[in-house]
Amino acid sequence: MAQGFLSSLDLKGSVFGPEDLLVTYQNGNVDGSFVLHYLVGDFVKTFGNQSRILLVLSSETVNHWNSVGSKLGWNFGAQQAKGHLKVIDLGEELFQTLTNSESPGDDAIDLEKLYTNSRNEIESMCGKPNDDGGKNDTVKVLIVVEDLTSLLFHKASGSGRTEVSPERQVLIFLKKLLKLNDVVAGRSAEVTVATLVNSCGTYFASTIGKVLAAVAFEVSPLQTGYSELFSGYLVVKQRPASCDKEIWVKSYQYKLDDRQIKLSPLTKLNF
Amino acid sequence: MKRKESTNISRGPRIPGVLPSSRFGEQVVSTGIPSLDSYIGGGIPIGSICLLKDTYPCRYGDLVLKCFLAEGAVYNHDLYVASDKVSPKIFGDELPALKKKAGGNSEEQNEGNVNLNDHSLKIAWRYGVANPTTPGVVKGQKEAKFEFKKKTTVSSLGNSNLKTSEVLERKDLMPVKSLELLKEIAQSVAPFDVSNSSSSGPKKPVANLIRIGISHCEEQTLNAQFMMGLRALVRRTNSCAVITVSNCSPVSKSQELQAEQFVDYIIRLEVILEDKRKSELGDVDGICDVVKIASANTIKPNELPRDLGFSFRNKRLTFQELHIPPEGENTTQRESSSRSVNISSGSSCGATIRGKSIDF
Repeated sequence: MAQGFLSSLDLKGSVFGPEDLLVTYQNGNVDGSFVLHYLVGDFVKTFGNQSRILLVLSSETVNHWNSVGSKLGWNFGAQQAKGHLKVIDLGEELFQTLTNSESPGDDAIDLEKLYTNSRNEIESMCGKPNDDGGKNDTVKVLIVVEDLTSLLFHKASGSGRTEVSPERQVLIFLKKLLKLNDVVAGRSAEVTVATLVNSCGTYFASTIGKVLAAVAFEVSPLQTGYSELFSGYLVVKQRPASCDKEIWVKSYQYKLDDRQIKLSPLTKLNF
Repeated sequence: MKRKESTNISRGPRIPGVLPSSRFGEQVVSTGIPSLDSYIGGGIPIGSICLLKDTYPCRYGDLVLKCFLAEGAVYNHDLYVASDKVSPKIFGDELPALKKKAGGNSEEQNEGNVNLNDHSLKIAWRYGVANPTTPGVVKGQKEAKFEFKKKTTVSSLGNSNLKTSEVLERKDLMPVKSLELLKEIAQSVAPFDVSNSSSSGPKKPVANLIRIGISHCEEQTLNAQFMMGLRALVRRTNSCAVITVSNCSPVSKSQELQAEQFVDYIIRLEVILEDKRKSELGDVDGICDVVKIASANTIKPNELPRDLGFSFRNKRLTFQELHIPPEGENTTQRESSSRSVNISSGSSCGATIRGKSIDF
């Protein structure tokens, strides 16, 4: 049986820690969304019935996630049927807004509303707070914001104050999502957030990856543009628990197939 | 074996002009240029956006767009056209005509052009492609379906479903914003909605598709908001879009890069100006650089076709592989024995490689 994606990386400790942010950083013209798909697949396989997933989609469709999920060995439909997976499809909302001739047609994303919807979905998946103080198995919640930079580009709004920049608004939204961990702590649940950012011309993407992420996955294209053996480069950086320790960094060449990924560690060449 | 249906989007009954791709069970529509289709998996997938980047002031991108629309007209697909530089009605009135077949043979390949079929290797360093990507279409097949010798109209091709953009014609809306254009496109594609997530109950199966062609509307299209909106529209409808832009657009580079993130296909057409270079590369008018090919429903990256060129001979647009000779050698020179390779450096900075002296 093929090794899991995360287990192939030899990361220290669990990646899905409470209030942890996992960032996939797309460097250049390369599709790094496979990291998110593999993270979700590993999350479902690791935590089984204790897993809860909230997908905030802005780039791809539910159909795409369903199709890729089945190739990676987890059942999207079954998770949805059990109530363990919820979807907020921003693309679908945008579609409805644009095609509805009666709507004013403002295509901005309301981040306050998005946060409220996300919170409601998480609370419904985690169930009622523990009244009797009895121990329940910890429910692990993974919030996947498919493309954080699309929130940035889409005239992110919702703070009510027009002088707040879109970058700041998105950062506030991200921090509030992470703080949902405190909201659901009383229900024996822990929240991890995974997201993807694009490099394309903004410092925002690299800042998120370098400053806020507990684990950052940096995906880059091949220098030569094409190889039969490899699809690109993957650099994984894990922030240590304490500041006095060094950041764990490891580089890989990856070969991506329809159903599996092969990782080859890059060794440093000393001249 | 019964094909697994998607849980969210069902494309409905079979539509004329829609072909299966060789990749991942996608459904594609031809660009109208078989030689280009052969390099990009058979055509443009339904639900995707193709961005053609042209070299100013040339308009080869618009020729591709016209072939795309003409192909749609032949199969009676709905067409939507928007253009900022010329009246979109021109696209409906000046489409290429179907190429006449000689002797009823639809597989003809000899029209004074080099036969690039992989069974005939005429040049020593060219290696034919072994695996065609699309059944029935061989890579490098140069048969053109349309030609620009005679112009034809959408109605002459048997189509009456052309819609041209009105927002771009309205003077009171100047400058036209991305949102206005997007809403107009949304109204055109709404009847082709195939997503099941609407609460309006079961829908009639969609029996046709709409091809969206946008020519040189850089200010409206080259931004992330427009591309996100267009992507949301085409993903959920039976539609696909081809957008041509110029390399000299007033839009900033970063804005262009942000827009490109949401596009599925990016094809760059670079015109070659020097005649010598054109003939060296095999009598082409320019280089076709396929920068991005994304597929839905999979994470596997696509292999990008390399070393492509395009030519406009006899009023027909075709795409072909470039003839790139090995560097530094005369094409007719036999390679001397490898044992004769020696590198000597005397008092001068000269060196000898394969019997030739090279001075720096």
